[in-house]
Amino acid sequence: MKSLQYVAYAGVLAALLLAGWSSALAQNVTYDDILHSSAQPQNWITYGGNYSSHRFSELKQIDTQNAASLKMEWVYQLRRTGIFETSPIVVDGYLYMTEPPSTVTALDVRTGKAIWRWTPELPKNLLTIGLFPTNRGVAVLGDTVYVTTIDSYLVALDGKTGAVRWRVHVAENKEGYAITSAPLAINGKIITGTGGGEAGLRGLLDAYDAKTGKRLWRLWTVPTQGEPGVETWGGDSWKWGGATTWNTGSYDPELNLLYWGTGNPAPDWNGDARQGDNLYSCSLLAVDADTGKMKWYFQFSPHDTHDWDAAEPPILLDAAINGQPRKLVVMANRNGFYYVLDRTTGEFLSGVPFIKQTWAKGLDAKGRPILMPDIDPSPQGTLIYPSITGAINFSSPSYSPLTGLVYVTAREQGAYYFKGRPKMEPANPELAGGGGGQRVLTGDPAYTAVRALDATTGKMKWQFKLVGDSWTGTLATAGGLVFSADVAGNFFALDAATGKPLWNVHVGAAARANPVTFAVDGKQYVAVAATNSLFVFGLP
Amino acid sequence: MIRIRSSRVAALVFILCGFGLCVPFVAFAAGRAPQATKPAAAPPGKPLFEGACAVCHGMDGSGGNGPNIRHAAARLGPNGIEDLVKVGFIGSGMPTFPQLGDEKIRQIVDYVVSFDQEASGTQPGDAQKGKEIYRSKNCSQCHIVNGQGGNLGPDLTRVGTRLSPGSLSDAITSPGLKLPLDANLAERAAFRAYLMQRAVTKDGREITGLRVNDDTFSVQLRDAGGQIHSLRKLDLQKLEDLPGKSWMPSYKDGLSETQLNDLVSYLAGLRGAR
Amino acid sequence: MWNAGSYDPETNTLYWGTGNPAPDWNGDGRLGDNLFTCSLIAVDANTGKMKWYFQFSPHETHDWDSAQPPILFDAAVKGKPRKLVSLANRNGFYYVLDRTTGEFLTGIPFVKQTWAQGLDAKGRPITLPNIEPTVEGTLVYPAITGGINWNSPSYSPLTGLFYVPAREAGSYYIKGEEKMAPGNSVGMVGGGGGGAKFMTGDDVYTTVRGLEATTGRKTWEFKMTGDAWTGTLATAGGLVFSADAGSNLFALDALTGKPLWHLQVGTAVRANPITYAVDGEQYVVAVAGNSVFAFTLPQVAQAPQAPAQGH
Repeated sequence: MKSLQYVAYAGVLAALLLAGWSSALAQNVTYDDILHSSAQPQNWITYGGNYSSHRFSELKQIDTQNAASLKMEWVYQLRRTGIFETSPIVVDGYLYMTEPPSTVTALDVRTGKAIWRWTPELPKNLLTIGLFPTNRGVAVLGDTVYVTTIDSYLVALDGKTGAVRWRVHVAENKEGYAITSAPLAINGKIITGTGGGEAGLRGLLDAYDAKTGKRLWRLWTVPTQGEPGVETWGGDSWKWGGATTWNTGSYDPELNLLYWGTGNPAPDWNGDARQGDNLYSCSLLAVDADTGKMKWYFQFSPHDTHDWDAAEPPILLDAAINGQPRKLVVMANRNGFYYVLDRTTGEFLSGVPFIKQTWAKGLDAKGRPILMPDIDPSPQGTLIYPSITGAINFSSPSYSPLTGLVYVTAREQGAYYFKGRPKMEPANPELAGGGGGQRVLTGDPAYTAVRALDATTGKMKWQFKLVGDSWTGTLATAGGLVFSADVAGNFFALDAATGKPLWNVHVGAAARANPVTFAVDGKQYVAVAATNSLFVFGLP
Repeated sequence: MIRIRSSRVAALVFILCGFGLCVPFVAFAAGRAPQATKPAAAPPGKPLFEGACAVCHGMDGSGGNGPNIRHAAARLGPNGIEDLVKVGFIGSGMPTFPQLGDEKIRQIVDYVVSFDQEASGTQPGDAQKGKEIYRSKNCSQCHIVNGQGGNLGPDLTRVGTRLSPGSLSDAITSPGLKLPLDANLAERAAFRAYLMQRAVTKDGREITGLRVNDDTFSVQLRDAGGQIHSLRKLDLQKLEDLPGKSWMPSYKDGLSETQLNDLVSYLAGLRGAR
Repeated sequence: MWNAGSYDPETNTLYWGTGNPAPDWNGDGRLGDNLFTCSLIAVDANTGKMKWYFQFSPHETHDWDSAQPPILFDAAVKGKPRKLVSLANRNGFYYVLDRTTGEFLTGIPFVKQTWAQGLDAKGRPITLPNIEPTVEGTLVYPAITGGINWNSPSYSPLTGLFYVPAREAGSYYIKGEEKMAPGNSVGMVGGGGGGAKFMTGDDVYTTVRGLEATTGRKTWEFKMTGDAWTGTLATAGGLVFSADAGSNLFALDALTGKPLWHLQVGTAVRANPITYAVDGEQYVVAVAGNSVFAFTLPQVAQAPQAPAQGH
């Protein structure tokens, strides 16, 4: 493994020229720091909490005994309305978050006061087809903050001032590419995917040099003419195949593999013109971080016609399967199944439904779904579980190595699926995904629940039912807690072992974001973005 | 009673003491600055601005009840400004203006953008040589241009749109004399940017730095290393302003007149191209 | 009359403040006192007839509306019990009037002001020269936004103090055209003819002041950083709630002004806080940005409440 000590240009200058004026620069995140994120639990250092996307914190000041006395510490309010889905990064007392659509704000963790804010100028004719103009967070490496923008740029900002260090064009927004996900910072590289799977384009995953912004490699998630896999696309349907990479993936530094989920094939609800499996849509890709070459893939929903993206953050963990220690990657998939794969080879180990599903009899020995008849969208509507928004969506699950449980916000809901057009009209905002869509089953039968699944089997250990929908991820802590929120605006803490509710507060309206925890001056905080505010709680 | 001669002059005072670069008003009045703004035919956005915006942002956009927006175009661009006028700014008192309609809003935006274009003029020296002086004097130790440099002083990427050559010259020779209003964040619009403060905690720790935030209960200072110190006022025995102080040395004696003119020309040409 | 007034049910009288004459900053086309602008008027609630008026700023040219909520209270003045109405005025003076007759009793500045030598025996300002807006701009205190604006002061009968959120600032007042074109407004200021350039920077601040209600004498103040637009709330618990421009909601000791609690709510509180109780539990509520915040004391030894459970 390489151990590059990344220090940004300005950092070097300051260190050289100002030596003696002050002690070492703060908030300098090395690759090594991210590698050993559990050694500095006061920081929430990368999108998923660690490279394995556990969203688990070693902090345990807030625990099952005292969680009931959590109180508000400070609030940061957005200056304008928008869909607020940020998952903050915290480094040495700085909190970096994004505001919709693409603003980065640095806050002082002690007070919630803004230190700087950066807002890009966005084009007037911005295309956001099949997605909201929002942003889910930044990445930090060295003293630089990396953010993607809704018009598909990747921007490097000075962590102390927000000054632009470089800005590169990832893809063309006019073609429908738009980015809402947090980039991933690895060893000297910044990885980002894009959204736009309903716009009629091909998905891609990019790596950029963290210092210069130079693109190092690109992986197309839909093969082109002459490449293996193109035969899984009827006619020339690969040209607008979709399979976007719109959420943040995970990374195994030992195998040097990135794990990234891909979205739906396009058009979403009509597969007639794209006969075949439509590789590599609705798949998990294992990608060599140095070369961008795909090491293996696993397709969860071949020839998907229900918009069941596989963009959920994959969780990496090591555990024994049948008595044998294995390196695993697990994913609670939008299609309703919980999958356990070998992350070295992509071998399918197990897959069980974690919600009600009516589209597959089960999975075969290789993990391929055995389809039920008549599940395709139809002009009159076909009732299928789960709904288009899926058993889970962008919200991140968490994994506690202490309990061995994966905590997932699961949606129990069916929908009538309606068939759209067979051919894509690229970059046509009025025909996102080729038309078609769903009418969901609403009312009381539809609900969400925080479910604790045995990480290696997917077997449910407990659940905490919520009224209505939820778009909030979960956060697990060494204090024996799981934090999440419901659509009514209740932010709450559950006992990680039993699911028993220990604390809740009403924050006004739905949280659509992943909670995080961090500490400064020895005090632990829990934060969640909800409605138009970032709410931060701590013990009295 | 203090009177100022004209609102145009008042406007210039604010232009001149742009972002962290400062100019004594007297020096300007003495005819030092080569360039004054040219009053053109009143743009259609002017009366609209004065009617709708000036009550908070001042007649010349220099702020007051609302933030200084003279350089809003540099930060937000015309689209960003238009967007803000249309959607407002939560919690700040910035309303929406549904009665104005797109056309009038665009005229207002054009007018606000014009604030950012005023400082220009005949450049007194050789910009290419000036760039070399900028490099040799290590200006990038503290200033950022196009993302490169240190962060103790203001970002100079667009300084040419903010300061006239005359005021640039004064800022180089007399730094820290007069501080501009902080236009970076609405919540600190009323504060002077780059004000140096010295805090002494009750346990005797001393921190000198540039003020980043200041509210009734806390203050955040950026020290010479660029690090932020977040301090509760309760924990302080002393918090004092250090007016006129700057970490930037005066280049009054360090540069010949030709060199100064060259450097000014380089800076005056920095207008935001990336 | 753009702010809420007060009501005395015993005498069935409404007390309402009135705003500026128009155009705001040019009085040339409206010579005279411009009744009943910048006044407090007492109105019979049954008939709408004016019982009396008191004009704070005759022929006003600084946009100093008198729309501040008048506070009604009864107290002894010079040993004599009086029914009073007091108003901290945007023009910088604190006034105490007899609310039965409108008689002027006291008026003293509660912020720095540079436009009047003082008030005469009837409460009419004795103006200083050269305070009119000019084309070039005339610096006058208080600012165009006033010594106080629409945000409400509060009064505690327990302390006898009037808690005013006060602004210390001046403005350059700029004269515009003298004629108004009715209805020809483009925004906030309409055809106001002129305007102001604000004094800005650190010289401008706001403060919560505890004034002796009958005299206007300052007993304490709590200085804030920046320009706050929050009213005050006084409680029998001996507290005064307000907020600063830095988005801190806080509680002060009503007797001393000492800060006892504060919380960063993320954006300025441009509203008046209130309090109420339900099921025996006291709440303090403040609006900030797009949110309503409610606070209570921590519930000790009470079982945690689960979020609404379904199914």
